[in-house]
Amino acid sequence: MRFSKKFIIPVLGASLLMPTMANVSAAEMKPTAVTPAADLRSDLDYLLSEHFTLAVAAMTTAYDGSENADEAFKALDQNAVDMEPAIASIYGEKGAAEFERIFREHNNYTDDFVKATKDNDQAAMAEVDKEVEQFVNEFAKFLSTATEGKLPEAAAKEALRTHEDQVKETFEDYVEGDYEGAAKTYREGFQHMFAISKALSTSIVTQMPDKFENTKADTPAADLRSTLNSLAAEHFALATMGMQKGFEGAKDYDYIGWSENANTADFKAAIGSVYGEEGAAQFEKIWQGDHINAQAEFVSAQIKDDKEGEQAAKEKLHKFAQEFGTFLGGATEENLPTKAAQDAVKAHEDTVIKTFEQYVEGDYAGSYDTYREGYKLMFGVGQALGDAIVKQNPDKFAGTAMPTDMPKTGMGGASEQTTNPLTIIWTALGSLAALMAVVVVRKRQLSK
Amino acid sequence: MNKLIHFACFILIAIILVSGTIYVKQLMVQASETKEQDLKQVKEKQTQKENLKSRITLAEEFTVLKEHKTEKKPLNKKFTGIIPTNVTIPSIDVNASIEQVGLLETGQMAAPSTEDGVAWFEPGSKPGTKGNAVLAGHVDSKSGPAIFYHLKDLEKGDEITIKDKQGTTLTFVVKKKQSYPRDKAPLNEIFGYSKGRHLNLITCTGTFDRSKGTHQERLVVYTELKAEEAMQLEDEAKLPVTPTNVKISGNLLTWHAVREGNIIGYRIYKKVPGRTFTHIGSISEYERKSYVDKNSSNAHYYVTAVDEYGLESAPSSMAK
Repeated sequence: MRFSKKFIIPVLGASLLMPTMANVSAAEMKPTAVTPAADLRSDLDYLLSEHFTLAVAAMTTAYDGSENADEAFKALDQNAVDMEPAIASIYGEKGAAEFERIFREHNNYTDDFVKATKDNDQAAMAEVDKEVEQFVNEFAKFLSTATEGKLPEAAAKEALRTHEDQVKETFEDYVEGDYEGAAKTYREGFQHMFAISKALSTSIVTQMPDKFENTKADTPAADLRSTLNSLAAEHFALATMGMQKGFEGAKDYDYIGWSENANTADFKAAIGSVYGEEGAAQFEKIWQGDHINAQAEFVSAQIKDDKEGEQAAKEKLHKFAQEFGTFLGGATEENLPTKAAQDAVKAHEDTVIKTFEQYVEGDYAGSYDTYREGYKLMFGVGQALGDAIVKQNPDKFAGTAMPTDMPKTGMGGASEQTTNPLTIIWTALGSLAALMAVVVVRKRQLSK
Repeated sequence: MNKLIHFACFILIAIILVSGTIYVKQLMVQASETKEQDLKQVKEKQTQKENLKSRITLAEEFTVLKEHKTEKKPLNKKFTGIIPTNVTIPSIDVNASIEQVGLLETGQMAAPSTEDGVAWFEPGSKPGTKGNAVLAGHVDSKSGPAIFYHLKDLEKGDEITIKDKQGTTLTFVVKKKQSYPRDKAPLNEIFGYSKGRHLNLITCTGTFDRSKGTHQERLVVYTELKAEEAMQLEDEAKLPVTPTNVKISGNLLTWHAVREGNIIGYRIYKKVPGRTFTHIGSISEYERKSYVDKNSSNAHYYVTAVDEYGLESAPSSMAK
């Protein structure tokens, strides 16, 4: 495993659609989580999942009549605006304008739906449902046309409808006081955004292989990066939301804690899949004590106006940054350098604390700005940690050598339009097995 | 003779030896017993020391944020009365908010600050407890009738309902009404201790004495807590519900909050091999339902819920 020296360690903090590092050609066997295609997927991970967190925040705060509701809507709108350069870089200004027209507009439905719910106006609610349905159809058509059918319209429709349903259900559960249901749907809805971004990014990459230097968005390395994106970003969203709810004594505070525990368990499993049970157990201990629980202690101290307690909690969080950075550096055998990891974790904790402190001060605009900054930071974690793990364990992620196109094994076309996902999985597994064989053979040759 | 003396000496020595040995043995047994007892006492003291709750009061143990206590208070033996915030008297169409008043420098009970409001004499009894709680309201103002204008129309058996912020409701029934000259009211009967749970309503009556700036008489309506509610107050209080989903992952103990009753916090108990369960920490209701124990290897845990009366639930299922 002496590959690390040959690569530049990526700097934490992925910038939007910036081509990262001299790219690995498709023929290159050494896998990496940082390719133009994986970057596209990660950028979509970021923007789409952030859209989900902000949509739910905007609806629930508006329903509660909270003072920060307006800022939540502004952040939601800004997220849509931020998607445009990404679209423009692929489909040009015209495509971006059309995207804005359809997508930005649909954010307003969330506002309309909250108002209708508050007034218990069934007719208005039905009207919003109709508008959402129109959006789903229109946007699915847009995506399908833009990707020249690589993302089939039906699949896009289904994915979008699921998303709209999940946002609505999370909100409705919240309104009904079913906070457990809301917390569960929130997690599902959040994770669904990463499924959308995978489908969309693979479609775009398939459509324009040259633009993405023949890299793929669904390699095992890109999958790992996306998984880490999801876990880290969800942690950030839950941590900041939980702290505010704790401070307000909100009725659903405990349920955010449950979700955090579930997120920890998922994170532990992901670490375990790479570093085994012992590594997972070590992760869990570091992750929770001076981190998850310290964030809660910070809130409790704020409520009691206990300055000493605040300081103690902050120190724990700083200690966590040191310890967790050391853990990551050690686990990845410095493929992710300890110092870089410590700095990144500290930057994360700082944004968590700042988001909360600005909220407490009533600086809601500042709080959402910091939230967006801190949220984006988590995708740098996915990039840096994901790539470090991939570089450390190239055998586990030997998926970069995908052919750029499927072999033309069809003779007639009778089996066209097979949308059975099982078929796709079997095909993928088959090609993976073939690739593994290639790798093994190549390794044998090398060792001779 | 000599032989006899020798024999006697021998017997004496033997007796001394035997009894001495027995005595010393007994002493030793006693000593070891006290030692054991001491050890036991030390151990007990240690356990008590480790048991957090034995060292601190409920208020020190749990921080209660007022706005978190949103549930009605159950009527049972632990009930300690309510802080009234609203009174309704359907028969004379009264629905008023209640302010708290104390004594004026003159020793008088302060009057309500508005003509639509009712004042509760805060230094006195709380409604629902044994004794006489007192509410006062104006009968009129310069411009017309005030909130207790029709108090004189109340009849025996009429009901008065008062509520606190959490919605705890108490119903009182009119027993009698009586007017007294301003300076001749039986203060002890109106304000003093009693075995029953009373609520007395005061307003002015009679003609207005312009020279004194007040009415000449006071009307007092005596009421008593409705019999059903008074009976409920004799019931034993129910223990809080036990916390569920107690889990230790790594060194973080987590559980699900109890959502019934006015829970003020949770106690965490831990046992390591060879010891008994001890109370190692408490978490207030408003905090995250989790507890970090740095040394969680081989330990067993359970959690209990504590309500506002200090009653503790049964232990949760064990986490290890």
